[in-house]
Amino acid sequence: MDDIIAEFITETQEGLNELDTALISLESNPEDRPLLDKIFRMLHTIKGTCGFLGLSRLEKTAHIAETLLDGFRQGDRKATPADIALILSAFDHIRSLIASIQSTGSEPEGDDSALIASIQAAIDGSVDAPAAALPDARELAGALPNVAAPDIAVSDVVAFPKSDTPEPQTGVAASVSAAAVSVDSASQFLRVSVGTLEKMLTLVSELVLARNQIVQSDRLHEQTGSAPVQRLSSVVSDLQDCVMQARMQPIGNAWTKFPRIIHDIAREQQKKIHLEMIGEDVEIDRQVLELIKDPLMHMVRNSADHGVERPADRLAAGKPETGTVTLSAAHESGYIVITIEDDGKGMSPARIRAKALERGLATAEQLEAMPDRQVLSFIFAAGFSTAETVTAISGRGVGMDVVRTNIEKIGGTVDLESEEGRGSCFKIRIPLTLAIISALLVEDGAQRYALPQIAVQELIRVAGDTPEHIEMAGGQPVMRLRGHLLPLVDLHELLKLDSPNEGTAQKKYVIVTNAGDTRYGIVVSKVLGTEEIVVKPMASILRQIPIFAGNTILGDGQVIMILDPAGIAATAHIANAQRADETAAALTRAQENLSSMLLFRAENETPKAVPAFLISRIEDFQRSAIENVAGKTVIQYNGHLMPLHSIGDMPQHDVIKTLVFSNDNSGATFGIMTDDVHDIVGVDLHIESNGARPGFIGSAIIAGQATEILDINYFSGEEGWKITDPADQLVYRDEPRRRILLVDDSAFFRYMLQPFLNMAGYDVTVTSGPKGALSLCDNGRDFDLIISDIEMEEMDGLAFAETVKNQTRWRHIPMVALSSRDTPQDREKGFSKGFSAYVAKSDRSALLSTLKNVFDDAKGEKK
Amino acid sequence: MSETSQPLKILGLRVGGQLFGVRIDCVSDIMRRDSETYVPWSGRKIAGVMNLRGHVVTVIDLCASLGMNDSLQTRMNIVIEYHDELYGFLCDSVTNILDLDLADMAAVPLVLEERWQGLGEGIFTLPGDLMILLDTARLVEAATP
Repeated sequence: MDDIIAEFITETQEGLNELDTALISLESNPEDRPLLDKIFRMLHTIKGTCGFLGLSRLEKTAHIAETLLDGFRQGDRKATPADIALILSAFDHIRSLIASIQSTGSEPEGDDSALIASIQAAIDGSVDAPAAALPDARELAGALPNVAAPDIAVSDVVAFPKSDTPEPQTGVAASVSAAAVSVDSASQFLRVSVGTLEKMLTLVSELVLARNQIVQSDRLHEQTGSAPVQRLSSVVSDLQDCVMQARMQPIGNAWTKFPRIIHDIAREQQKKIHLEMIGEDVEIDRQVLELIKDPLMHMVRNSADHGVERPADRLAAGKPETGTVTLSAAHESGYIVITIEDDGKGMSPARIRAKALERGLATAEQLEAMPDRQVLSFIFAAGFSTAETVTAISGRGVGMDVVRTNIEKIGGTVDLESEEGRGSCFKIRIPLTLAIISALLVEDGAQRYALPQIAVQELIRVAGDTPEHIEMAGGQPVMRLRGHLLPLVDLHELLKLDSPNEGTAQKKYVIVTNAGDTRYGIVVSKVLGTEEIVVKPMASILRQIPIFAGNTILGDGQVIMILDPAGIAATAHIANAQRADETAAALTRAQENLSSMLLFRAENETPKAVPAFLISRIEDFQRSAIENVAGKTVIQYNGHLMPLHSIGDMPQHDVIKTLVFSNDNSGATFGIMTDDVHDIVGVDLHIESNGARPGFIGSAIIAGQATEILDINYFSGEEGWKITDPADQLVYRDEPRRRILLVDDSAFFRYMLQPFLNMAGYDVTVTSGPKGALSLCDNGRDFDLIISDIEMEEMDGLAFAETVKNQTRWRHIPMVALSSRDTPQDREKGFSKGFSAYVAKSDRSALLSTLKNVFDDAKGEKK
Repeated sequence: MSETSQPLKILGLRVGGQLFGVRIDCVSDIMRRDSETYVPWSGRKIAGVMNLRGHVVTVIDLCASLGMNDSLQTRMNIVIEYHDELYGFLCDSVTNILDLDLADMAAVPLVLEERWQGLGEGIFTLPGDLMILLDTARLVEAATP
């Protein structure tokens, strides 16, 4: 017999027994709504499985019983004893069919029309004569073969000691925790209760502890490595692995039925549906797997049944004929995230509103005020369905409430996103609380904590002498990592530990962590290593502490907390993490349009800014430590005297936040004292140079405020982007200043080149791209020379030159290419497009001499 | 209150000199206090968590829960089961098991400190002593951070 059928039989037999009891109690409490819902769900599960297995007699019988039950649920009729008897007779009929399937392996031939007709009669005559059907039903029940005897025999075989887990609440869970041994002798597998596995795991953990103690005392007696102890040790480890492995299963095991389900739905409804499955081999705890299996089935079914439209409708909506249902699973920072997505018709907030109103779930005013997202969540209410037709597959509103109940039972969440006409996406996040995970053990305040390894992206040691170090930006610790700006959370501070922080000077570790879309670093003082841990849920009264995902018992018997990276991110308000990351991305994109600017205040209330990448550190200097040597303000810094500059008067604070700049080549450093450093923002920099005073390149609008942009060259007092050869500067002194248009989409280069060229005596206009340049041309502006970058996003420099040379009145203006790519071929290409010269971006003096040559040539030509 | 006799076994314990009791049927272990793992963010009433034969026990400091002065003598830990979870109550000492009758229990008098009102099921007058029967469920709930 098919494994699936064998499993179905066991489950159904258990389910039917529970259903009998539940129905009988319904007879005495016909108003018991939760009980009714429970019966309905259980029957629905049975029906669904029958449909999938192609057991049409069973399915029809279950469907008619369900239809009758639905009448009670809708409030159309009250559950009378006669109705209950009818339903029970339907259950008996199902039993007899199952007994027959069990002995023969297939559904027997036969006719159920008598039973179905009698129930249908009861449904049709619902209001006036429900009792009329009763005699029929009794007759029929009597006429059915006596099925009680074989059933009892079967139950005895499959009986298995109930686990000590609490009594399950729904049919779905019932099939999980009530265990049974498969009677199929051909199979090499046993169905073992989760409770037993759980107990085994607890016992193994105990054994590990005992083993560790024995090993320890063995060491104390200096009989290191006595053979029996070693043997015990390895056996225990193997046993532990075995038990843990026994609990893990690839999630694909729960999906095996889905292609068939989709196929059947597609056939029945003349739809074309493609099922895409991603991440089948994601390993998931057995218990979790069992608990999400049925919810997933409901959701996949719903997607195919309600979501995907018929081919004609899809074509009319401009979509491909074949709809796609995508099921995917992935680990995400210690969670297992499962998404069920379809590209169907989506959900209509308007219809859900109407339905919710009809059901009395909310008032019209409330619904009006509700955002669509919230309205969507009504589909998780019991008995809620917007399907216009009730099919055998779904549409009775069973399912989504069960789905949510089951997922929340294991501490998970389910989110729904839907766009009308575009499709729906369910995102299920299951916490790791039931899983066994690999964790990084860290220590702070003499206590250990575990961090799910899955959330750890990298581990960085930071100390005074390492290239990476912790800095402060706007009161927040940050770290620069390969051009990214990483917000940091100090574990010690997060945990509000009383013991003194071991000092910032102490070497520390930054654990780069990913929580959903947020990347940040956790600062810890000690990293102990990795260990496989058994996750135990937090006690219910501690569950609301957001920073822990659970706890675990270590090998030495101590209980430690498991940190929850997502919870920490939320708690520590890494609100700007996203933005910081954007900023960082901007920095790394080889200094493209977006530039990351550090905002600070000095001298007056006008915000000042400087590109963040120029700053090597932000230091807090005691004012008392600042000295005056030979008229210069200096401070002892890393064993040297570092010059400090102030903008305007020296700040009067006791502690002065100082931006430290250092030259990568010469190692020379200097500081600029500020009143306060308050933010780092990513901006598209448009520097206005007019009216800039010494020390500033110009000003720009940053975060809605006019901000002065610092000119580092002014303060650096060293070579570099500074005009050193007076000859360069004075060349055109006697002539009108040459007008240069600088086209470069890199804010960095614009930032560096503009003051540089200004100082060389040119009148520089800057634009961030060819389009801006061409609009200047249209506006009637004129220049003596154009310097253009080659690699630009909106239009490359070659195309720009071609356009200028062929289509504009600027065709006679000489153009100089500035590129980081400087091969003979590149040059050749540049010249062919109309550039007069080609300069490597890094070669500053070449640029100046080239400019000079080009101007001289132009002069010569004119003469 | 019912006059019929309802026998009740209560475990006596002392916190800061005061005699309290818990129903013996919910007690799973009585043990010496072991070192707990401190749980950050958990509040003063939670002493920490500890391992008891592979189960995680949340240890509640009765002294703090009952709003008494810090006692330095919390030597004992009474582990109870509540909603399938284990909770430990730290107390100074465990006295003995008392055979009492529920019919003899009086409501916690209003003269008693307000902070004990919600935490006691009732009060028993014993020869030479008063014993407040603690409501373990309420204590657990009240310790929620």
